[in-house]
Amino acid sequence: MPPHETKSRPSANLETVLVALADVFARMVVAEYLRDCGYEVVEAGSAEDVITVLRAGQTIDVLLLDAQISDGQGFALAREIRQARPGIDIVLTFGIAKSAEKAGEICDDGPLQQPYHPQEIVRRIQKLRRRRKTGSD
Amino acid sequence: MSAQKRPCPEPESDLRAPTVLVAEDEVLIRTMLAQHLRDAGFRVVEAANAREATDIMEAGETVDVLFTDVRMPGENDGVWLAQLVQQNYPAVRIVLASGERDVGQAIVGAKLFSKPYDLDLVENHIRHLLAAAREPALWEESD
Repeated sequence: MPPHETKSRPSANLETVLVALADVFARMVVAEYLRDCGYEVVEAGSAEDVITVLRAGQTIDVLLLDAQISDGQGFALAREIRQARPGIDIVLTFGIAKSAEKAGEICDDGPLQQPYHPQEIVRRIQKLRRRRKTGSD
Repeated sequence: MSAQKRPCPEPESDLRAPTVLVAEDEVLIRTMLAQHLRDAGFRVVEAANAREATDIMEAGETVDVLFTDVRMPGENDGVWLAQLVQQNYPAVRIVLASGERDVGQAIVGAKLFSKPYDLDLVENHIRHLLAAAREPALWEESD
């Protein structure tokens, strides 16, 4: 199917988490962590992307949403989604420590065990950020 | 949900799944391609623009293949990204995609998929690139 045509993915008894974090390293590490916990994960880096995913009819069970996304639009976006899509469990987060904590809580409800302690998420994100700044390990 | 458990993943080793960096600003296209490649056994990291893609590369993430849209919003587009990767990370294989017909040969040696592209064909091409990368060229002398 051409990628510009969308459809809901067939159910595989896996819940889907939409990880909406603006920081690419946080998004990458948290998304991979949740996949290792057994979730299907969709990634979004902006409020616009979140809206696009939801309007396309993608089945989303949990939304992990950065309050700071798109220059602080997270709270307003969460309010709108709660009204429009009450079936979605919205988890608001702020900063990488809270994002890691919330990802750990989501993982606890997942089908597979935690691949590692949520605190490790913070360390991995920080390591990537340091390497990005210095260009070395 | 199933209560099945599995051991914690092994530390990274030479047996890691090949990693594809997908740089695509349209979230639905990026999501569908990324999921298709993950279902096919690849590890996929996603970037919404060229800047995120370079951040990922410069942070030392091991990337085997870069799949990038040619036209992306922002200061730098996919051609710029592909050229930077080709210069600074010569081992990374590059695949391009474009929704415009007249893109020309943006990157020498890189296949260009016109949108809408067939996901299976993209997957097969990536597998071909990785297989070619593992085999020495005929003219290379063995040690």
